[in-house]
Amino acid sequence: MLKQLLQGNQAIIQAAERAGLGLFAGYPITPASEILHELVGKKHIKVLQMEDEIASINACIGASLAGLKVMTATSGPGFSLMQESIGLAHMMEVPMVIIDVQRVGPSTGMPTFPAQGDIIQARHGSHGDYFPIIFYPNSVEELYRYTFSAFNAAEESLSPVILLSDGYISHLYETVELKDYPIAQRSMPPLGTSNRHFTGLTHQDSRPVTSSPEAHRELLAQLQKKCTETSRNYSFYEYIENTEADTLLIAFGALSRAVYQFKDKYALFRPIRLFPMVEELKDVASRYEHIIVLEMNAGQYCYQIERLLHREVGLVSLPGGKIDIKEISDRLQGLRQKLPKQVSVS
Amino acid sequence: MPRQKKGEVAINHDYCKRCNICPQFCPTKNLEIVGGKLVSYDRCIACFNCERYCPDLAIEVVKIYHVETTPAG
Amino acid sequence: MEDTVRFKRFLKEGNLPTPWCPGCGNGQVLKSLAQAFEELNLDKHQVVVVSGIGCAGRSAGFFDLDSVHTAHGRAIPLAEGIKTANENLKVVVSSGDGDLLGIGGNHLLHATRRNTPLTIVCYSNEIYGMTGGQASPTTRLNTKTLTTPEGNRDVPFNVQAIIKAHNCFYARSTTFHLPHLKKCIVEALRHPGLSFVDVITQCIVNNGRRIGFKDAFEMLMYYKNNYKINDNAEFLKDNEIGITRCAGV
Ligand SMILES: Cc1ncc(C[n+]2csc(CCOP(=O)(O)OP(=O)(O)O)c2C)c(N)n1
Ligand code: SF4
Ligand SMILES: [Mg+2]
Repeated sequence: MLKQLLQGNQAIIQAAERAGLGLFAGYPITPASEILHELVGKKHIKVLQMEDEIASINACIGASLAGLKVMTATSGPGFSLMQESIGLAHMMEVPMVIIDVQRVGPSTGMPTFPAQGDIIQARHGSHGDYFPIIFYPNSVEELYRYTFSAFNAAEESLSPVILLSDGYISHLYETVELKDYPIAQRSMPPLGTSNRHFTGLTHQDSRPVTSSPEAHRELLAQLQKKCTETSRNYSFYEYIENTEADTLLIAFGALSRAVYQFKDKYALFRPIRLFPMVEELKDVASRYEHIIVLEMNAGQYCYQIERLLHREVGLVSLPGGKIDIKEISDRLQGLRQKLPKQVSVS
Repeated sequence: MPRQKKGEVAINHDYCKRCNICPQFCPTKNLEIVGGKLVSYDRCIACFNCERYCPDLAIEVVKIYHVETTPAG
Repeated sequence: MEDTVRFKRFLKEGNLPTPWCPGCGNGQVLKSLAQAFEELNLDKHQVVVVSGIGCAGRSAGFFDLDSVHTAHGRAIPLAEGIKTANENLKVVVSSGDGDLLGIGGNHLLHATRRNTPLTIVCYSNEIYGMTGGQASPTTRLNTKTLTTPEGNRDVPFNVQAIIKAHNCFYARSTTFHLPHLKKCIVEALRHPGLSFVDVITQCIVNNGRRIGFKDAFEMLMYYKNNYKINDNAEFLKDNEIGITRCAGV
């Protein structure tokens, strides 16, 4: 089997190419630019450098409707600009893959430092209700593997699937076995074959419906069902059990690699599909007295976990791009003493 | 002798919004809004102005072809 | 069937009436587009219509072919994505002045640089119609709108100069000059690169009536009296309509 030393962003390209990427539209931004650079010149992939990220995602929507598998890649500031059209893609049921290589924000923040500050933006950044499928790998090999998953889930759910990365893993070099994974094919006929009307307005049978709460609820329910059901085929997580431990640590992406250091003292859970949240976490969490989430933001996923588990969850918040084992160890120590015991395990 | 009617104006009242564009374009005053409804009389000369300017596809003019008949005998 | 209604095959008659106000010019532009498709005898599966948001933006939904109704201002980049993916399609953008020149203005600028083969039909009613009548990028100097109660102080967007700066096709017509409007769209559809048809059209309810026009007919008469056809100009004057010569071919 072919093994290659690849940068994280290159691994995404390798997988996208094999998954059948037909068009990429993007705008330069650190730490995602390598994806744009290295796609230019590939024979079977059309590459558009657009004037901004709004144009990029809309060109992707158009090309996807016209029948190609499409992808765009960006970082926080560009991801913010894409939000309105992400909602549009959900509403019009357009498959595509969006790579968000997170850097320190808000605003321009620290462009070359990794972060995990786009968790809630990825889930809720566009207005209205939608139910995105979001993956967040933690190694170069996983960026390769889950890029396939992202393309497949997009085709299956007919929705934009988000693959989160961060400035750390996207710029890391590791060896990757360039395996072939199953590839889903497009089910929807391309533009130029029918008389469909794709619209961001609430709609029924391809027709805008602008004043029916019932029609809107029906559409929402259908979109939610489709994404939730698809996500069940992509229930990715890593669980490192520790029967001696009373505390479960939850971490993902770059930071989760540092958290492996603590597996002798703690049990570890790493969601790879961040949204819809993996249900298995409920069962795993019930075995531990304390739950602590570690993330490179002010607690974005922690709140989601509290809501999922209906119990108090400790937070080690590490914004600013620094991953320091000693600091993490001290913070964990301090936090554990303060956490309440779980009352009942049912 | 009255002028012969050269066209038939078909009005789709479900589409017509009574914007009053067509009556003002009609050279023979064949169209009028009466009591909130567009009506057509028998003065159509088939100029197609009303059909052309109707923004709502509510009008179709159909030409009437008069066949010249010579009395037998 | 009279020849004059054959164009209706390009429209979804079942979706009528349109949501536009009585007398609104959008319906006339919609018809002209369908008539141009008919004149070129296009195959329905060869054309895709893309629009943005606004009154004019609702036009896409009335074509009996695959159509896309995008977010506000984003019709052009989305259309470019379609065209890049499948260059056999005729991709037509049908949208408003606010949508194409205001919020979407930067996309227009760059699409002309790229000279992407699209036909863009701009419903220039000189107002943000759908949102109630605020000044738009094409609102004339001194015109009173909801947001310019003392009269507009900003120079209207010189779209002709922008399109022609990158050697793209530019034509202008009005909803009074319907045969001319159709001809402009036909020529635009024939143009191999990016083509832009600037259609001066009446928003009677949220613009015309407020600036003294009695009804839509009166606005059409104003277009009739104010605009002269000049189909062989390098650059059209303010009171001219026509197909400008294009160095880009
Ligand atoms: C991002 C965003 N901002 C604002 C709006 C509200 N909005 C809807 S239509 C419109 C103006 C449209 O003007 P124009 O393109 O000239 O179309 P018209 O209604 O005049 O045909 C605005 C501002 C919106 N839908 N989306
Ligand atoms: S508000 Fe103006 S542009 Fe909109 S439908 Fe009414 S007349 Fe037409
Ligand atoms: Mg307008």
